[in-house]
Amino acid sequence: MELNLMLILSQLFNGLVWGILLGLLAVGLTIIFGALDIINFAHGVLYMVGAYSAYTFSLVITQVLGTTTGNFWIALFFAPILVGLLGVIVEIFLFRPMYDRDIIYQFLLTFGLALVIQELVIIVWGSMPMSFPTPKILRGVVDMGFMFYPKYRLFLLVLTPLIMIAIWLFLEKTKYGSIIRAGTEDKEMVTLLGINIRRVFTMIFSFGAAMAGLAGALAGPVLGNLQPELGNTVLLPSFVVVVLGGMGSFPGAILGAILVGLTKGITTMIWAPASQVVVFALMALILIFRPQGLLGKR
Amino acid sequence: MARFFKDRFTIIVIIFLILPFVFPFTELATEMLIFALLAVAFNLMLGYTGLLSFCHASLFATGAYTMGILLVRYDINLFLGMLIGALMTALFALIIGWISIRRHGLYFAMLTLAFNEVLYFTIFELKDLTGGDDGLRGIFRPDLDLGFFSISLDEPMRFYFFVLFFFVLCILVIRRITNSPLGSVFMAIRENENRAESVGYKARHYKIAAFIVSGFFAGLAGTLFCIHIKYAALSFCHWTLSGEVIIMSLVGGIGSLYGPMIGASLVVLMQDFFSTIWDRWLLILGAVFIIFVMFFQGGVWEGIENLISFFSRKFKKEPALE
Repeated sequence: MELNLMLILSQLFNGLVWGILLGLLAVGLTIIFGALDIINFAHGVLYMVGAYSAYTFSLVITQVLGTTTGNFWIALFFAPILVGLLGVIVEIFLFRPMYDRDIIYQFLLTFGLALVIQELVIIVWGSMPMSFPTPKILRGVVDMGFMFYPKYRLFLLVLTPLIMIAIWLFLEKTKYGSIIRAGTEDKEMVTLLGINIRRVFTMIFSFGAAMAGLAGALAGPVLGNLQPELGNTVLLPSFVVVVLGGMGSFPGAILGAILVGLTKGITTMIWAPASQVVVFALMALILIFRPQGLLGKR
Repeated sequence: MARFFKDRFTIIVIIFLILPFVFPFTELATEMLIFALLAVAFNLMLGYTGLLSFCHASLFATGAYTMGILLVRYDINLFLGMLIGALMTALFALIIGWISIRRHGLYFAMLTLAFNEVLYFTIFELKDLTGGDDGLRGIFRPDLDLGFFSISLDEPMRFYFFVLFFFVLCILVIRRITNSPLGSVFMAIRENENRAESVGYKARHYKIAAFIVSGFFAGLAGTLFCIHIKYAALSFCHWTLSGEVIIMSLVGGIGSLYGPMIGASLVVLMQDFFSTIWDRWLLILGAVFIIFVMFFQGGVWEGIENLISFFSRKFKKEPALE
């Protein structure tokens, strides 16, 4: 019985870790969707670029500083910035000329972009799996009294909600945050108020991309191995999260992430083969009966 | 006779008739035909009815797996297998369509994507029936049995003409549909759904009809592909194949019946050509696709049409001047 309970709890925790990482991705996706009306198929590969570049940053930093302490944290800082810059370039050169076109074409553009970035990643980093080390302080397991759980995963369970709160504060309490929110609510009004909406769009897209990059960098040690399939494995589940919470809703993305994480954890426990089907069936059900999502506005 | 040759499809058929004799890779030509059929079936939805479906991989896979399972388990007759495969797919399309058309635009696309994934993981988990991750093995190409005599289709050239026969048949049927009043309603829905409704057409029913017709032919393409490569792989159902079909259609041009055929042929050719010289050929495909999305939304076919009308105008003017 004890053992069973432990198994159940660790599955739930695993589900949650997976969920909150998806949540970070979904936050970016949902903000981009809210403002730009784009479902970003390139979000998965941006996440992958985040993970790979964090790997490279920590290697470079190790060589420059001659020490391995702290390299992960510096990489964690730089990887999202790099992905954010990539987002700026993509938005300015690819999306900007497309805003007046049919939504379908923007959607297809992100699909082509995903292919290109995916292949570029393989060209730069190769297609062999690369092992992503866990930072030294967070190696090993913690005795939680009722079970042992990897330190790094627990750390994610604490850190990611803090990041979410920081994003929420940024969106709610700062000037830039309110411009972003305004951009997702009513574009014309923002323009009327004399704000350059194009720049806002660039900002939003690169912010979303940076979030994907951060999620990738954070996921590295959990994944253990980096491989070019990474982007594909998270893309559709993060769509599910966004749809579940409501496309364009920030709190929705968080709720969706927790729900998807728990659903996956629970179904894995009950009957593992069904876990993936259930996640997508959930998405279909939400789209059928409540297309605006759990917390979305119509 | 002149009218016969003026028909663009006649020219395409002639090209496809000559193709295997000048083109050294018959099997590649067969693949071009099959994907051309899939792309045309897909375009019945995007180009004609204005529905962006992201589930055509699952329709293709339904056809392929149905055919494969029937062959492996029941050694079924060739035509019967193809028919059942296509009908199964049409039925599956009816179910997906009936549910999905409640939503519009991107929500519709996401819903079809969700169904694609449900089927993908179902095939993945039903290992006893489908072979799961390993794919369905042991598929063979049955003989073409016409009652009074039967021919083996294992010879590539024979199989090519077998596929070509069905390709032409399907395109003629599809063309008949798009030129019929039904096709006009499809296009009316694409242009303005509310207006089509207010004229008295039940848009829902017609959208489902588009789904079923598209599903039938996508499934048929799947059955042909299954006996073409004698294997049914899980990757048939992967959502990236849905994306590839969209790429094919858009590169060729979604504005006409023939555009997707050209697009599919080009993509299959590019795939074969670049993949032999460079592993990362998808980079080229992605870049080409981005260029088409951004600058040539009419696709290759529109370019060809413009060229033809440019020259035919010149051609007509000259006698008038005399």
